Amino acid sequence: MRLENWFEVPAPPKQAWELLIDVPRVVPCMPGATLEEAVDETSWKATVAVKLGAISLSFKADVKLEEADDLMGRARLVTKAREARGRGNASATIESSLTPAGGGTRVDIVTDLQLAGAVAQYGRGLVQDVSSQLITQFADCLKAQLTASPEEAAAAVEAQRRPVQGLRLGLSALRRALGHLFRRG
Amino acid sequence: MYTQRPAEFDYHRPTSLDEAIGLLAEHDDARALAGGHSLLPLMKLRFAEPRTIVDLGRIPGLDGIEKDGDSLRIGALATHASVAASELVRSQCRVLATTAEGIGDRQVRNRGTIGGSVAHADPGADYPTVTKALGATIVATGSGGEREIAADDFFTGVFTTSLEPGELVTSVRVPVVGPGAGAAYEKHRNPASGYAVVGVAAVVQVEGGKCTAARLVVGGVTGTPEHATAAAEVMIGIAPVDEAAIAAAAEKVPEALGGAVGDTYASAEYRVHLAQVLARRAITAALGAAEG
Repeated sequence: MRLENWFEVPAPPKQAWELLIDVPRVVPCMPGATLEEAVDETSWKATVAVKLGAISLSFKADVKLEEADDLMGRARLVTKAREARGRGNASATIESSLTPAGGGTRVDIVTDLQLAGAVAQYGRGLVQDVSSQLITQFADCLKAQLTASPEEAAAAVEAQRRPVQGLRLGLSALRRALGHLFRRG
Repeated sequence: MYTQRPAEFDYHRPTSLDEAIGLLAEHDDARALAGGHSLLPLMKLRFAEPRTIVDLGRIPGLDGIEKDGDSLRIGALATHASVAASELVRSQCRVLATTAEGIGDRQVRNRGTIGGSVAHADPGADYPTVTKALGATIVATGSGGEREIAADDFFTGVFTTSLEPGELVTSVRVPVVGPGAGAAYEKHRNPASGYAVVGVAAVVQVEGGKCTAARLVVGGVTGTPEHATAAAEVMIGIAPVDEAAIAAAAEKVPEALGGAVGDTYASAEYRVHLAQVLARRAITAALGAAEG
């Protein structure tokens, strides 16, 4: 399944680029994700907790920065995750690209998500609904990192820290955090 | 898929509501167990691993069905079979009885409860769609006492509700379908599970041969049931026999289904198509019932 998101930020491409390749800053923007360990300069281990009502899943993920082309402004993160209790596997390739737009930068995020095993079968396709909301929140949080004051950026990350639980509530919390920023601006 | 055993858990069987609420407050990873026909399969699949189960089955007084002014108060532990068989429900809010009749299979109907169904908020469940269309109220009880939540505010997403941790659904208050009003629920069943691939509920008021108020709710297409408000607006003023006008209203249904989701059984496009077909049937049936 292919999920596309994009946003524009007033920051110059260089500043956006520094965030995109800073994986320890990128990972906590994923709802429910926690960075566990830096394996080497381009590999990390993380966990992603998803809780929806009675359902709770915990993914252990290997995250690798496979491509970081600063001239072209393209980065590719490859994530392979398995559910901690063997409920299935998820793999995602997240390609980000930067293009100058006006005085700022347009950030395109294309995610190719593959699910296998029980997680792919359960939920009658709603995995797709949940996944696209997760990626949208992830993109919103990245945007906040580039546009908000340090404390607002931290609030946006904090909003993602708890396990995913009631996605719409999570989204509205994030919108509130972002709302602050717009009122000020 | 169901050969696995659930993970280990502690089992409590309180005999009063206060005791149950106390147990839920004490164990923050506890899940309440009613009929168990949603929770137990999830536990066997290990999609859910609660460490504590609070079985509500021995709490007296939670399964009654009674009339309370212009509403029916249906206890959370009323099974689908008892809702379907209730003379009170059949005469005052027939759509709820016929919905209950169409849930799952006989075993699910004999064990599954209305409180469990709404609290679990499965996107393919029937009660969320119908209670939302009827303008029902979910009554929840926690350590702070009783709280009433409109069905419109209760279902917040896939398997998620606005219930707070430690709160239990204790009853569902459903307005009676009075004179001049009609309601209908039409669904396409998944042949294996009985869940609604798509389900559409219509509730209307008819006066002087015209529809004067309408609500239309679509379940199974998006993460949680959605009001098809554009379609409901078109329904106002139409005559119960006007097939073209009913079809025109149903054509507006996709406007509410922007987040349509597909799976191996039915694509998003097919679900949106089904929603229109079922909307036409539900509107026709509801208008007919209002006149009849």
